[in-house]
Amino acid sequence: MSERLELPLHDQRALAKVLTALTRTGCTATSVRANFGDNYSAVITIEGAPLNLRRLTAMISRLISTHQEEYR
Amino acid sequence: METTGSRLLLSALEAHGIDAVFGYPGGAIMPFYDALPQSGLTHYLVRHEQGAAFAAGAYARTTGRLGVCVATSGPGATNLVTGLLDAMMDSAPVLAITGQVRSALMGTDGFQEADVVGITSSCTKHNALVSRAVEIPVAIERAIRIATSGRPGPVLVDITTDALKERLTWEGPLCQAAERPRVSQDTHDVDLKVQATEAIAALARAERPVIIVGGGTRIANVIQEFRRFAALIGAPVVATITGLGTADPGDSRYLGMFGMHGHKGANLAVTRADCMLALGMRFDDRVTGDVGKFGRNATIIHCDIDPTEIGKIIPVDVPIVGDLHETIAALTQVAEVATMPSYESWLAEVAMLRRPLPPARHENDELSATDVLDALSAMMEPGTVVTTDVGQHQMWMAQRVRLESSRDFLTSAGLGAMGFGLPAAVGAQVARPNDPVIAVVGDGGFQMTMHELATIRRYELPVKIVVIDNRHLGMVRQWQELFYERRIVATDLYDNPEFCTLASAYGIRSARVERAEDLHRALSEMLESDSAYLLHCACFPTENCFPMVPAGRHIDEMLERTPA
Repeated sequence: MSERLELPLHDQRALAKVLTALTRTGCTATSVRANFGDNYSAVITIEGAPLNLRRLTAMISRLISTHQEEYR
Repeated sequence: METTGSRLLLSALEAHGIDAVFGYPGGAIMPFYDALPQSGLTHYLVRHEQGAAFAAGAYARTTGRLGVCVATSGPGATNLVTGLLDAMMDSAPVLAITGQVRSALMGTDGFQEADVVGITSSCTKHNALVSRAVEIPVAIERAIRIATSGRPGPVLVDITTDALKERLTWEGPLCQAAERPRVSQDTHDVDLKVQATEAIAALARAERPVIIVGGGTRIANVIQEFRRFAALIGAPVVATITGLGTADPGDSRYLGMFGMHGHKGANLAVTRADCMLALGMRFDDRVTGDVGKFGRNATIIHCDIDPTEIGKIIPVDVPIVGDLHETIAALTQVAEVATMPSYESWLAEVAMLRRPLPPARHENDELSATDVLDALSAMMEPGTVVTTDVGQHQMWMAQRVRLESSRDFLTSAGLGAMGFGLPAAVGAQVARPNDPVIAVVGDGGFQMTMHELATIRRYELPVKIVVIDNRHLGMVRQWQELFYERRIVATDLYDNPEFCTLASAYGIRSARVERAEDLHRALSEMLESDSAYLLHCACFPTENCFPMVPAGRHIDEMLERTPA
């Protein structure tokens, strides 16, 4: 059984970190919609088993939290 | 101030209170080394960059301060990776500084060029590439803040050679106040009190509670606060391997380490518990066993500074996110005015669950490794720092060592990196020059980093090294015996070098012991030595580490001896 997560991003520099986390947790990005205008924004659609998505969410939360600290 | 990138880097490190760095020079980092003698930093030259990262990690674990390691570009930086990941897994604040090829060469596959930021992105909490000298102070400030704030971890700053050589005028600050702004502190305090009240109420309702201490208690340095709180609650206490030393070893309610090689009483108490208060731990698979069965009938209270740990492995009933100083203070405050049960029948039951460790097995007249470690644990002075490698000796030591402080037992817990023990002892002895430091290493792990004997000799570090030589990669051999139908493949080390001759080649005193009747005298001689000393313990090869929970099984399904 697979579930879907839509992850919004507002900083291009976080994208690479999120993609690395996908590989580790066995989840798949099924689409990336990015707007490279003055205000960068992207939405990544991710699919994976519920347990894998839960682990991915934890990992991404940590990445984003540190990332925000890096660029605050 | 007229300066260069290198001098600015050194000044920034000094401004942040750094006084010791572990490193190894090379081409791209040469401007840093050229400026080093004019700084106030003491540099410890290791013999492999991995040793620098391990030493910095141990320095950080045993002091709570930032550990710093330095390496050159390319292979220098890649050799740091294992040590950085080790620091990441065990939440040790480490700053790695690496030289990078000059900016013009980057992306050309230049000599000793590597994408260090890319390579280390998943084994650091933060990393950054700096290619202009003017960026150095801010990059160092940011890296140190991130390494030491929240849940600590390793960070890496990769600096190009041209930035290190660049001349500039610098008038700005080298170190600004690194305190994180406490947003909505009032809300946090209210939430903490609510959660602490709920946690204490859950403990008061429980009939069979257990308190679990993890490595977060070491990081938060809350030993005394924890011991007061534990005495107030009166519940049994167990520890993860990184939480060893936080609980009072003399407290009858302390059951020792739990998990794959935990004490039987500790594992059974956790299994039967109807409420668990987990402090600064992350429910690693080595402690939960079969995660589907872990704590199934228990109320779980999980306190951790990292919100992403809450619910990552185990569903949590009462989460408390925050610094353990504040958390334990809040829990204590609530518990002091609460009516807590005595847990009398549960404590009586737990006392019955306690079992001594399986006795040492003897084969012919050969030395038993567990006899060595029992004797060593009994003979060590309080306040001794013990470092280990990874494998049977690590678990045997964790089961036996009696610690006054969680900063006294340094091991590669999460990553399980063999070769940690000796360079970690270097870092620990530099950090705590007046305390005894003992590296307990296996014959396999020791040979991964034994070149650091040269570092020990050069700086006259009085490290004691106990080599548990069972002529095997013992833990892997044990698994082959127990779970791979005794097919022993690639784990025998019958051709080990003569370790005393090796120590002698490095100018380090040594002795070999192979009979039980000589053990006490040999250990005494080592412990009384003022200088570095290697004790080669020639043990019989087939002793296994028990209790043991087979991987993926529930933690009450312990093997206590080798099945016939």
